[in-house]
Amino acid sequence: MNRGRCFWGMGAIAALTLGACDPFGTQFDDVEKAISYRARTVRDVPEKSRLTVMTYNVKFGGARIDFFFDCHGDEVLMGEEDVIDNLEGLSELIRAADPDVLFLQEVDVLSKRSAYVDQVQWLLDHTQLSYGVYASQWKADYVPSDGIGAVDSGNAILAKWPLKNAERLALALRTDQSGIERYFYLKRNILIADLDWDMPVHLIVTHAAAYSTEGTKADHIRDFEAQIEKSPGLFIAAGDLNTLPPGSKKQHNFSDSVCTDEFVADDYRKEEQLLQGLYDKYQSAIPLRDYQAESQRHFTHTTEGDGFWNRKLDYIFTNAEVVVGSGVTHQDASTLGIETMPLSDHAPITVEVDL
Amino acid sequence: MSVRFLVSRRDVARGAAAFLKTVLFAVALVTAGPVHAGSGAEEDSDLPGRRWSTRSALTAQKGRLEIGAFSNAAYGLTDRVELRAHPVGIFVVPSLGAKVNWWSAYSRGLFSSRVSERAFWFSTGHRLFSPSPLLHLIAKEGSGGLLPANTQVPFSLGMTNEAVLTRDLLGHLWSIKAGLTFAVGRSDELSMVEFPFLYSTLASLYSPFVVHMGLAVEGTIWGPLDYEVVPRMVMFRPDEDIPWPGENTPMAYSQETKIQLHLRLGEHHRVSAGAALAIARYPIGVRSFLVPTLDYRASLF
Repeated sequence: MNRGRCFWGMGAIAALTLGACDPFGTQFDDVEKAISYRARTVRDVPEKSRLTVMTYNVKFGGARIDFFFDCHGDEVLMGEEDVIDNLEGLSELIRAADPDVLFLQEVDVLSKRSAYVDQVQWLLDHTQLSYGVYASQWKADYVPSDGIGAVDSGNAILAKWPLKNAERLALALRTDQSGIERYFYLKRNILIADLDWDMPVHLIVTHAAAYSTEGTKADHIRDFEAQIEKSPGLFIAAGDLNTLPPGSKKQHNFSDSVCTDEFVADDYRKEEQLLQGLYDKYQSAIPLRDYQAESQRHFTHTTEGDGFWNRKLDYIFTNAEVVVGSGVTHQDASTLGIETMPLSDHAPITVEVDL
Repeated sequence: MSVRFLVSRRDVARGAAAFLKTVLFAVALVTAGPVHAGSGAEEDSDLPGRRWSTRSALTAQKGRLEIGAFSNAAYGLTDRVELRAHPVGIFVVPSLGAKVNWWSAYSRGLFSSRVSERAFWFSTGHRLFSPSPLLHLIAKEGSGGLLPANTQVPFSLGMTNEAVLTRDLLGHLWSIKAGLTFAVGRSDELSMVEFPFLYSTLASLYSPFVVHMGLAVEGTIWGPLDYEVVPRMVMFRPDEDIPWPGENTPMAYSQETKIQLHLRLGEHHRVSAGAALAIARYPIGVRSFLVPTLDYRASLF
């Protein structure tokens, strides 16, 4: 009897101790419900047949602060005032563009680096958008590295109308990392949702791997494409795919790549065809021929705030009708009257789509 | 399987109420029964388990020196004064502590011990420490960097003072404790370390003062096997410039419970194993964290 009690007691302690396989809360199921948001003030907007769609990697409201990870500086954490200032800039731009649907990447909801400001809620409360869904791509109660601490950052879809059937679909993890690194590292995802209309519009957003050497990025883009193909009707898909369009002239040795002690993330020479299928099958906000004719006008990324955009990483694809000539990469103040270079390390893209 | 618990506000309230009830019950138990003041403490260590330093108000015998692999060394300076320091930790968090026994008494009450002459002890604990070397150690790039590498680490000194009242009940030591920790040399620029257990250790850097209270129950289960159950609550209100979601920063806390078994190996060696559970309110919410504990102690005299 006593021996039995002792056994179960020891077993319970062992189970509690050894079973702590997710002590920092970094893990996800393959499919999870996305987190839903609603603006403090919801605006009633009638359904319409022409949508303005925007995609924007907002760099967790970090604007052009020189963070340690892109080797331009050594900053890790922002104060709340900095974050709010930066969000003011982003929301001003979003209000000027007035999108009906906004795809966001690298948006923080509960991260120490961005002073725990819930940026999805903040942007809903300070733009014309009323509804949102969110899926973490990097979540940990504590990241014990570089002073990062708690992080919850990911993809979001914001819209003027309610969103339903929102799910977080897990993407493959990198296989070139140690177990402990992978435990704390980003868990990329595809976030899907439907506009809650009579005729649902399927919305898809992702942020593909940037730093993979073993094919994970290609897997992510293939999964993104596969998810698009599964869409039952109209879809709009967007994201930071972290690769260049086919036919890009400059594919490596970018002047803003200053990190020297690790894998260079921006050598795209083996990725020439990764997006060909998407361009072949669907309409793009920036048609491939337009990009190939005048690439520089459509670059969306640079890590150097004092320089100029030097590559295109951000995309919008759809099977609906894209209004000819409506796709714009907002590289400066000439389109919306607001400079975009100081707001993020990515430029936003907008396009009008007829449903 | 995960041992993370998401604890609701109601659960926290219930937990706090249960904790307070336990404290009140312990106070009632510890203070019940008539007492007769005594002098000297030498016979208190007649029980083999009590020769080892404890969490209670009892102090180590004069001249006794204990060294732990992962716990504080203890030295009986006199029969009433015990000094404590960590042999390895002194390079990480330099600290020197003292436990001073001010009073002990006999009891003939209902719960008087059958195995010990003395039933009540009252001591105070005092500890001076500097967390600065630890902050330097964890302010780094890459793995193990709990603070940004560009952190300007201040030189700070902390002090803890606490009171401990212990009663012997049927051979087991029941203690209640309460105290305050504060630090000088705090910096507005220092970001908070929300890492389990370090959170409470460094709390005095983010708040003008830190309140802690707790219980400790210790005794012998059988023969050479001793136990200790040590729950404690650390509470502090973070400074206004510490980022926290929402408009008002709530009271932060870390409720930590350590349960250990000690196996005495002869007169001079003891191995310990157990677990420590921390349930704490961080900026991201209430989280729990469980770690196993191991220790080896040797007494040199």
